[in-house]
Amino acid sequence: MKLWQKMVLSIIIVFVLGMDIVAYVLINKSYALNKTTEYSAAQNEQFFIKKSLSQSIASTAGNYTALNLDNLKSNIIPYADYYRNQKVYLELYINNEIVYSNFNNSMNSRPELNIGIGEQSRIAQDSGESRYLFIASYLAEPYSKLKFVYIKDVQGLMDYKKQITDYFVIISLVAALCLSCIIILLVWKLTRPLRALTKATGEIAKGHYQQRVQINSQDEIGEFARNFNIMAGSVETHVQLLSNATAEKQRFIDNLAHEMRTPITAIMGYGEFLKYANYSEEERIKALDYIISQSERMQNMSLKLLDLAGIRKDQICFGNIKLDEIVERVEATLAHRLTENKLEIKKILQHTVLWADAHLMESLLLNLLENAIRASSPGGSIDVLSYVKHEQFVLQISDHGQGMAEDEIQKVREPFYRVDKARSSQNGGAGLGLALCEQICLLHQATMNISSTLNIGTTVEIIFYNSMTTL
Amino acid sequence: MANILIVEDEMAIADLIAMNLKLVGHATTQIDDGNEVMAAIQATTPDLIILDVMLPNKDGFELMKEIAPLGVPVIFLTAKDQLDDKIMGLRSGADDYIVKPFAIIELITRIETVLKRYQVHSSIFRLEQLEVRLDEHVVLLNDEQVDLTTKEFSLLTLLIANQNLALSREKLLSLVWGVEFMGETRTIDVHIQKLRKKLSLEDRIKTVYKVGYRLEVR
Ligand SMILES: Nc1ncnc2c1ncn2[C@@H]1O[C@H](COP(=O)(O)OP(=O)(O)O)[C@@H](O)[C@H]1O
Repeated sequence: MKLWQKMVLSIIIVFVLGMDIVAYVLINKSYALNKTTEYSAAQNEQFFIKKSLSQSIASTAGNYTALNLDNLKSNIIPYADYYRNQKVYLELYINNEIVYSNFNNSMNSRPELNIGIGEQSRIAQDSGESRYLFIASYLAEPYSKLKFVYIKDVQGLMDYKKQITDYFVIISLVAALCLSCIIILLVWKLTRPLRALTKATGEIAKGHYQQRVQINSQDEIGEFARNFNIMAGSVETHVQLLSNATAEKQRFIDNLAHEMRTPITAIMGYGEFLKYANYSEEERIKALDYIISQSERMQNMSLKLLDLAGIRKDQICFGNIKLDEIVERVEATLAHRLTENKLEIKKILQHTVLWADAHLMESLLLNLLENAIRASSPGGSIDVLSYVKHEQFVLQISDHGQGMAEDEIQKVREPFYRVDKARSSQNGGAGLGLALCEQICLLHQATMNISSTLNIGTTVEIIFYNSMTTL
Repeated sequence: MANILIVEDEMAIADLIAMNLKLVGHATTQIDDGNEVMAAIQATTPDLIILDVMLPNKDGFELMKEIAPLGVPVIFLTAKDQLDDKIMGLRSGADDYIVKPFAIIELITRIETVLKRYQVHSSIFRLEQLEVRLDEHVVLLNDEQVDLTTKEFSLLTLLIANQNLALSREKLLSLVWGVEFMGETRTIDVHIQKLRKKLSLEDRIKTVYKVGYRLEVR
C-alpha cells in the first residue's frame, strides 16, 4: 500500500473510532440523565396520585361502614381514566388481592409487588413492544392494607435513544465520507513532493544524471529535496568527470592506433617492395630511407609514450636543481641538430635554482627546444630565459620561426596533434611533446602559456607557482 | 597503362603507392591536400583516384560528393577503426576500399579490377617481339601465333598485371588454379617453364630466390 493510502486510511479509522466512542458515551449519558429525570418525575407523580387517592378514600369513608372493593374501585377509576391518556396505568390491591387494574398487558412476573408495609419498589420491565416502569407502595395509615401500583409507559425514552443512535450513525457515515474526500485531497497534495522525488530518483537510476526535483516548500520535504538536488549535482559532476576521463583515454588510444598505422603501413609496404619488386637503385635507397625514418618515428613515439606513462607522482624526485646545468646538458644533446640548422641558443638565466625533478625538467626543455628548432629557419636563434616575477619562477623559451595560427595554439597540447602533419612527421614528431610538457607542468604545479604569431615566432612561458626555494 | 591520382597526406604512404604503381606500368600524380584535389583532376584527367579518407582541409567523403558526378572511379584508403566509414565510402559512390596497412599485391589487384570494370586497362601488352592481346586471348611471337593452354594464358596475364613484382608460387597457384590445389607448387614451376620456352621469356620471367617468379619489364 502506498504511503498516502496508509495515511488516509489511518486518519479515517482514528476519526471514525474517536467519533463513535464520543457519541456512544454522550448518548448513554444523555439517556441516563433523561431516565433519572423521567423516573423521579414518575415517582413524584405516583406519590401525588397515591396521596390524592388516600384523601378521596378518606372523604368517602363516612358513606361506607367498611372498605369494600366497589367503593375503592369508584375512588380510583377517575384517576385511572384521567392518567390513561398520559400512558400511565394504575392498579390497586388490597391484601395482595386485586381491586382494580387498567393495565392490560400480561406480564410474566410482577416482582415489584413483593414489598412489605412501608416499602416502595421501582422496577422497569418490558412487555410486548413497550417498556414499562412499575412503582408500587402501600398507602399511608389507616389504609395501609392498600397497595398502589403506578405503571408508566417509558418506551419513549428508549425510542429517543434509538433515534439518536440511528441519526448519529448516518451523520458519522456522511462525515467519514466527506472527511475521506478532504483527507485524500490533502494527503495527495502533501505527498506530491515525495512523488516528485520518487520520479527524480527513478530517472537518475536510469542514468539521467541531469535530473533535479522542483520543490520549493520550506518544510522537511523541501529541505530533503534541496539536499537531494545537491547530491544529484555532485553525482552528476563525478559521473561527468569519470566519463570525460574515460573518453579522453579512449581518444588517446584511438589516436595512438591511428598514429601507428602510417609508419606500420609504410614499413610493411617498403619491406614488401624490397622483397618483391624489380626496383632501381634509386628506389631501393628511397625505400630504405623510408623504412628507417618511419622506424625512427615509431621509436620516437614509443619513447615519448614511455615518458608520458612514466611520469607519475610516486616516481618523481624533487630536489634543488640548477637550471643552467640542465640547459647545458640539453644543448649538448641537441648540438648536432643545432649546428646542422645553424641555430644558436641565447641564454639569459637570472635565476637558476629551482625545486623540481631534474629528469623531468630536462625532458621539458628538450621537448620545447626540439619544437623551437623545428619551427626555426637556418641562421636563427632561440632564447632561453629564466627570471623571477611576482615571487614566481618563470622559464621562457622563444623562437623566431614559423609560429602558429591562433586556433592551432588551442589544440597543440592535445596528444598526437600536429599542425603540419606531413612536415612534422618527417621530422619525427609524434605530436606528444607538448602533451608531455603539460603533464610535467601539472606535476610541478606550473602553468604553460603558449603565445605565437604566424611567421614571427613562438614563446612558451612556464610559471612555477611553488618551486621557489628558500635558499 | 592508366593515369592514377593519389590523394594521401602522408608522404611515406603516397610514395609507396606511387612507386608500386609505376612498377606495374601506371603513371601517377600525388596530392596531399583536400583542397587541391578538384584542380588536380581537371589538370591530369586521371583514370582512377586513390583517395585517403583523412585529409587536411577536406576529407575523403566530402570530396567524394564532388568527384562522383565526374564518373572517375575511386578507391578509398581507410583505417581499420573507420570500418563504418567504409560502408559510407561505398555508399557515397566509391568503387572499392582498401584498409591500411595493406599488401601491395592486394592494392594492385583491386586497382586492376576497377580499371577492368571501367575498361581503361590496356588490352595489348608488348615486350620486344612478344605481343599479348589480353582481351582476345591471343599471343603473338614475331607475328606468329603461339598456342597457350588456358592455365598458361591465365598465368601470363597475372605476370603482366604484376610486372616487375614477384609473385609467390602460392599466390599464383591460388589465383590460377584455385585454393584446392594449395601445396602443389610444382605445377607452377612446370607451367612457368613452359611459358618461358614457348614465348622465349627465359630472361624476362625471373626466378626470385625464396620468393617466386617475376616478369621483368624494365
Ligand atoms: N615553437 C613552435 N613553433 C611552431 N609550431 C610549434 C611549436 N611548438 C609546437 N608547435 C606545433 O605544435 C605541434 C605539436 O607539438 P608537440 O606536441 O610538441 O608535438 P611534436 O612532438 O610532434 O613536436 C607541432 O606539430 C607543431 O606544429
